[in-house]
Amino acid sequence: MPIEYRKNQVQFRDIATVEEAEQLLGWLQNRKSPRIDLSQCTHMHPANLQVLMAAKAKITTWPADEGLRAWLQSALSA
Amino acid sequence: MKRVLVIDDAATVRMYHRNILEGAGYAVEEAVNGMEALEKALQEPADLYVVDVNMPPWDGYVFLQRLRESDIPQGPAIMVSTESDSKDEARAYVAGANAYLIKPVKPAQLLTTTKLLLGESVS
Amino acid sequence: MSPLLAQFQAEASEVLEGIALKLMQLEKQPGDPSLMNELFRLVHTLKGNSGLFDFPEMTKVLHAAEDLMDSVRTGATSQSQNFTDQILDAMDFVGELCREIEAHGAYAPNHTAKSAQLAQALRALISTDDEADSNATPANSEADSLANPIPAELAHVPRAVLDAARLQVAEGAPCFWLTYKPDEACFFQGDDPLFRVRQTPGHLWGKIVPTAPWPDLSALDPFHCALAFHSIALAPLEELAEHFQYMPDQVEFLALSEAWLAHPEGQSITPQPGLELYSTSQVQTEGLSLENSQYLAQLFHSQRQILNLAGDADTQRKRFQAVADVLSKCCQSLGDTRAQSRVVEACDEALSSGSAAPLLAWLNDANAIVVPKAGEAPTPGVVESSPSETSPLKAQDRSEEPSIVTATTASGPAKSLKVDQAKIDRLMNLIGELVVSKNAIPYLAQRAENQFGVRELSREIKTQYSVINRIAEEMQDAIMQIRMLPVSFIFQRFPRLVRDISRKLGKEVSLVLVGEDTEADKNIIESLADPLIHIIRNSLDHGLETPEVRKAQGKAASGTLTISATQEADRVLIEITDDGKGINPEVIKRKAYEKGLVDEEALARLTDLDAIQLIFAAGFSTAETVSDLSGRGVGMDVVRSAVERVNGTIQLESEVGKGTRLRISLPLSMAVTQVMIVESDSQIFGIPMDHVVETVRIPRAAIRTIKHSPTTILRGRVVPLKSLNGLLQIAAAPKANEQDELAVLVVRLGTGVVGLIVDDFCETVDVIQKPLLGILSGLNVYSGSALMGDGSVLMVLNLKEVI
Repeated sequence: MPIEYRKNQVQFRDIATVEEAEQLLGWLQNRKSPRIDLSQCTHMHPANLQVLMAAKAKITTWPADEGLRAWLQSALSA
Repeated sequence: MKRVLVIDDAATVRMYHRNILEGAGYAVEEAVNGMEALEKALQEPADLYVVDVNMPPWDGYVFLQRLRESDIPQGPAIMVSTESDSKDEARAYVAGANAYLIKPVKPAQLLTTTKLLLGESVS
Repeated sequence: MSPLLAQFQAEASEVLEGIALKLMQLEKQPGDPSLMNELFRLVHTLKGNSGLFDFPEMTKVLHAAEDLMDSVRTGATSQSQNFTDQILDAMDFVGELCREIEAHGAYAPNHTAKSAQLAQALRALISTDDEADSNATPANSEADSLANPIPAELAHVPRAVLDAARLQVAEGAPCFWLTYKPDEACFFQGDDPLFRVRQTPGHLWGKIVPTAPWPDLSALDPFHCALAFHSIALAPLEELAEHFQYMPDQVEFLALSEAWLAHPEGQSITPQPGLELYSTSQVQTEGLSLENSQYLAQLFHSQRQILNLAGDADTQRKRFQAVADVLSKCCQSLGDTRAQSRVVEACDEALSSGSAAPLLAWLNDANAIVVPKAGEAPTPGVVESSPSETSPLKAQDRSEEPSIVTATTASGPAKSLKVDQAKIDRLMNLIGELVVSKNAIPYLAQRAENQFGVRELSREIKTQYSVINRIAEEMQDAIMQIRMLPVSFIFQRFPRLVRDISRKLGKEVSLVLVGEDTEADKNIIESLADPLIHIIRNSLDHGLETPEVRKAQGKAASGTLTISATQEADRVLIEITDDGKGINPEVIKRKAYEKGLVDEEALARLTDLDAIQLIFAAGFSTAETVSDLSGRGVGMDVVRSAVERVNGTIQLESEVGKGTRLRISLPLSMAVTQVMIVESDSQIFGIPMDHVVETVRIPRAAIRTIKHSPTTILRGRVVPLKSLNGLLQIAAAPKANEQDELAVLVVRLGTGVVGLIVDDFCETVDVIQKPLLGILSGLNVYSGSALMGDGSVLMVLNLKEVI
């Protein structure tokens, strides 16, 4: 599973593909302040990124991959 | 001093354009519609025309067409319009406009375009 | 209060009064178009005026009112009582704001909610179609603002990034700002834009922004891409362009220069509150800032659009001149005299060739117009204070690469797609079949009515038929367009051909090609190649004289051969003109007589013009000696039949000592032919309508035999009659109707007319002719075959061969 959902935490692993976006959207809609862990994420399809952006999600841990981190921070750390 | 004829039925817009152009040292004359503009142009051709689209009885297109058909010295014309549709733009060019700017025109853009069309230094 | 604001006030109160008055009149005369137009114009004027100031609340309401009025004016929305009330409310609001402005020079900041509410109420009245439109506008303007976000965005890039980039640029590294706005539907095409930008060569810094404010999560469509990507990349333009080669219209590149990276905020357009923005004093101090070069680019874009307009040759020439004037002035503004002289050259070329291509090429070569390069013409103070060398039009290095590349426009012509010809032919065949099967529908309607007596159904079928018919016609037209080729396709071979031949013959010839971008169907263009080459050979060989002969006659030593193509209505005219010795009709007459092509009697009647047409007769060759070049036993008769095969005509004019002109007229497209169907011996045949003069029924008694040939007299003219059966070697005699009249189809052939006796005439139909294949292809009497609505095959006659 590229995205693991727990009670109030979601953990991205490796590559989050376009197919994940719908489930992510559904999950985020019912959470007030979820914890989002991207540390293990190496790439994320922008469909997922859009969902995180629109949900104004707070990122708990940024990706280890520097290039990805810089791009995601430009979009998600408002 | 280069002469610019500003053609618009709205007095405020005419004044706005006049302020910009006079501030840069152009001699500005005004006309409230295409018919008046053509009369003025035929009497004394301007070096450049700033033309609105919608103004009865003659709109900017008619003015430009007649101007281009006339045998007076042909100055460049900037058409200013609220329409950003490419069809409106193409129509302006067919009528004889040399440039097309969307209203409200930024002072810098009007001025730079004017200078470029008149071959005057922009720096 | 500034004079401009005072002027605004004065005009606003005048316009508001006018609006109130017109609204009252409109109440009495609902829907009066001239009142409606006047009302629209007043609101439009007020909106335009308010847009000059920072009065967003006022502009918003007026914009909504304008949209509503436009919708009512065009009849899309009806004018209700509510309409008047809402407009009055809106104008009251505007009046209120104006009074506040008059008193305080601005209005209080608490009007936003009221403005939004009024605008919404106005928009609610616009019928739904328009609503969709007005909703779409903000999204578009959002996209537009994304196209030019650089000044503002660059100022937000971390200092450290800019410094790093600047150091690289100082050492000569290329550096580009790129804006990538992926297509909204790109996720469905399997694109991953983030992956692509992550792989950008020389990537230094990037930022992802939404293209519009995010909707509520419940309304979010995650698969609809609403992101835009900005990036600074230290890589050559070609590499970047290659990386984004599959989405050229979604990416823009802008060269970043050192000075610009040093002072990014210097170029940002920071809107200032109130009217300050519009005072003119601040403008003059600017150099060719980024802002100004964008205006320049916009002006260039206008010129490109002007060049791409369609029009007749005269109009186009005026446009070329106008564009060249503008471009030349721009160069003058920038002090680039070399670019200016290239404009003049491009304009001369455009004027003489009748093609916009040289000017478009100039525009595409953005390098042709640059601000004087730092090393060549240093302008004191410019580099420091104003970033004139940061012009996006300036190449990042001194190579011939253009520096600004919006991939859509840089190369001028639209994107093209290479398609295998067989696929287009298949499309042609399919549309042919569609046209044919659609022809069956009217029969069906007839049967529904006559056979089954359901009139209603018949009418419905006919209505549906007209829809299908329209679509089929448009499709046909679209496919025709695909098949169009410019004549340059064959013209381009001529310069070489003329050079080689004239050298061989020791003649001096200058070739002038005109209208190379005139288009016609591919088959037509292709069929033209051989005849034209033959004509050129003839002209060079027999028409143009050697330099010595020319000089002796007082002509310029070098002859001129002009080949021009123009479109006239639905035909293409090709003219080949030389200023050579012309054709002597007496020589032609003598030759024709010697070869037995004409008898003495005919010879006497021949006009000079008719006489020279004899060179098109089979078996005619004028050259005194068979030359190596044109006299290969094939003469002009081959040229004529090649032209006629594609329904073209050819005409010759000549004046002895002055020159010769050949005019070839060809159809633009050969795909659809209108044919008249005739019946003979229970078979049907198609005859191209181009040939048909009239259809008449002639009493058998009115047919006389003159010199063993049946003839009749029609409108005082003797018309020879031929039986179609006889011509096709069908044994049956022509059938007459009850009144003993014969059906005669009068057709034009060359310059004469012939009456063709058939059994009966039927309707005319549009058909798509297919050439005969296999063993049938040898049958010259048919030009092709076509499928009919009932599935039968119609043979189309080639009258020139038949008669």
